[in-house]
Amino acid sequence: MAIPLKYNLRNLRVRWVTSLLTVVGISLVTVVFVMLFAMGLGIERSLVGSGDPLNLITLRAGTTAESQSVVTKQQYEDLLGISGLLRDAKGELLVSPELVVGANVQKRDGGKANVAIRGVGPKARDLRAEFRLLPEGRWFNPSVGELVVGVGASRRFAGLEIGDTPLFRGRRWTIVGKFECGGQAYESELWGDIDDVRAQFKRDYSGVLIRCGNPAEVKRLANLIQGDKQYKLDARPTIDYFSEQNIGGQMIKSFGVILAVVLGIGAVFGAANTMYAAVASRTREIATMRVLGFSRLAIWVSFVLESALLGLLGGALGSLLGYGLFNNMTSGTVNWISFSELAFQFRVTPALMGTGTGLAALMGIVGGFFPAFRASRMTIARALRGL
Amino acid sequence: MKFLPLIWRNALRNRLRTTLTLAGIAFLLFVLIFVMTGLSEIQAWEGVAATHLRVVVQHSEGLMADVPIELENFLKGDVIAAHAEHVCKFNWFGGYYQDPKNWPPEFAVDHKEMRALFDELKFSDEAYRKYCETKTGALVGISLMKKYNWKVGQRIALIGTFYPVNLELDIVGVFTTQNPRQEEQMFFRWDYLDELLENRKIVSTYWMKARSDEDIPRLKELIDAHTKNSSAPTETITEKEFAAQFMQMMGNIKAIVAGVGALVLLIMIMMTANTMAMAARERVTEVAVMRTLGFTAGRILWIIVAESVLVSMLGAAIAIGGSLLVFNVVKVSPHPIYFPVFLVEARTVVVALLAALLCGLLSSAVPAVRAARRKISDGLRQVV
Repeated sequence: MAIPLKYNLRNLRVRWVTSLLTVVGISLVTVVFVMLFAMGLGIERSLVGSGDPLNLITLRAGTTAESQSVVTKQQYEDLLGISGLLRDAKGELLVSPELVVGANVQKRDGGKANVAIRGVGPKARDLRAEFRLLPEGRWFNPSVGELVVGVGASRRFAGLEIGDTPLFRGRRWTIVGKFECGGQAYESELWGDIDDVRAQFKRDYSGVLIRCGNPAEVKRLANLIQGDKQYKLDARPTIDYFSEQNIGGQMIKSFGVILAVVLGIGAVFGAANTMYAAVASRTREIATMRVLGFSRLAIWVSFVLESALLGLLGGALGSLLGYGLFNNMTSGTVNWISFSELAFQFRVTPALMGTGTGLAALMGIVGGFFPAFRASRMTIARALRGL
Repeated sequence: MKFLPLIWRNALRNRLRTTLTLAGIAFLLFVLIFVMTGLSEIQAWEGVAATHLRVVVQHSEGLMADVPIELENFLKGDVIAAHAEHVCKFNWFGGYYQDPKNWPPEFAVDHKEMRALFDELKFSDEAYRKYCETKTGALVGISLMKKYNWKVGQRIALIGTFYPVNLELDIVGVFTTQNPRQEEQMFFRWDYLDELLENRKIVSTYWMKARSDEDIPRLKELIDAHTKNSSAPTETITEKEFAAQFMQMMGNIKAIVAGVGALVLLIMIMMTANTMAMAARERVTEVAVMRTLGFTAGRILWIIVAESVLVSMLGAAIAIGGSLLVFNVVKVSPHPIYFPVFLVEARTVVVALLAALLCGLLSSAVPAVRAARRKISDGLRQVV
């Protein structure tokens, strides 16, 4: 027969100072874990979320980022010659030649960072399903130095609001609109007309975005471009392209795992300490229960449960704290591939909170394992005699 | 000091508990040291950079933009020469060796100026002579040589990522320096890069050595005023500020590290406080007896605090010893690309010791004060 859980709950309450210290300790470990993972998930969401399964990106052979790639006008025209490219209702090709450059701009929270400036073709918006121009502004006119700003860039940098006139490469540009793009990396950019940006920054295209009708078509085109040496281009689905850029997100997540493990081990020692003390102070109680007929296993389970409960409480507290402190917090970091600023939001997801709580419970279980063993191995006679 | 044996015995009384506490503190402090070392490595360049008088001229819009080569005449002219010497082109190449994971810092520089400009790099006259004679010559830091098992005379290929060209370099010499991080770098010739780039004269930055500290602000003024109304306005900064740019790009790393550090310290305090509370509870009668024997309240307080500090410090010793062994002796790096060097600094060790001391003091404060304040009669009456 099992010992009722109520017994453990009451014990935790009686020894509330010790219980509280242990629970808070474990909850803080959970907070660290939740914080780092929320950051990693946020970066991941804005980068990986930018990929569209139906979009293909072509870059100079051997390069992994738009900012490093150079595609000439000739190469671009070669691409347009491929038969069977998708067209919109008006019969125009759903292809956008793009150029990504950067400029140092003052950040709102101090310091400077690179903002990515993207020259885009007329079809760029049709290639991003989530693109939405905010009503207070308008789309840019080509060749007059107008730009639209992503909400992320506008939030992170100073002087990038509608009506502002930043100076890039010796020219005053006017910001005429603002856009959202589903929290994607594009929101951290400024967009302008491709020919305008090319002329002013004296660069060729960095890549060409091609819309495909279905995933099989994406594959076919990628193989076609990749396989034909005359193009001298690499083509890959944008989903893969953006996943490869998620260095920052992965780094922070792996950092989070390392920290969680080592901090967790530290917390396990703390939990073990608490449980050993709990066992020691209840020697006679345990012996009495044995006399009453509870098995060794029941005692062991009861103490492990008590310890798991400590962990669970800590984990739940920590996850809630993490949620309250960090969820939707906006921040920014560098996109290591393009060296430009990437705005993101911390994301404390239910899954993350669940994982955090689970890990904390695990800390409790591991910490309680040996103390519970000690409790279950007690010799009844000696335990009853002991003071 | 004469109570040290007593404190020691107290600490050992419940060996299991002390061991668990010690281990917990050691693990937590290890995390603190790890996080702080990460931060100090990110900032390491800034520290080194501050010791030289080097000044960098970059485009005011940052590293994504180039500076015009025409600027060189002005920088080498009399106006600037009065304040600085050894004007040198400096481009980061950003190529990889065999695998995109091998991404050492490679810089294209003017071979004639680089020796005087980077005078902390030590290499033989012979190596320098060959470097000047060989257009494809490269001077490589000793750690980098060891990492890829390169030999002098070997030809290596670097695949360009930032520039659309690949390099074929001949290693002509090896350099050493005081700073292990610089020994992970390599230098090749800017004129070779330019040849590959079809003489497009792309200069990312100009570097020079200021003649004295006082010349630095003057240089900033002179150069930036000269280019202010040109098509490529410049920003003249010290090498330290140049390095700090990368830190700023990463965002609020400092705040995150500080936050994690503070949380770790808090967790440590909670854990140790728990142990000390348990220890003090067990000793209520004993403390009362000691008071009867003539121990003052202050002394009791001191003995309990000292025990906690002792345990914390022992934990710190294990954590510091362990991390020095792992990072500085065995040279483990959490991420070899981003942290080619990962060394625990003296400063970090001091912070870890202070954290342990703080933990020892704070965690024992409540139990120690309570033990010292308790009336002897109450203490004697209490049944543990």
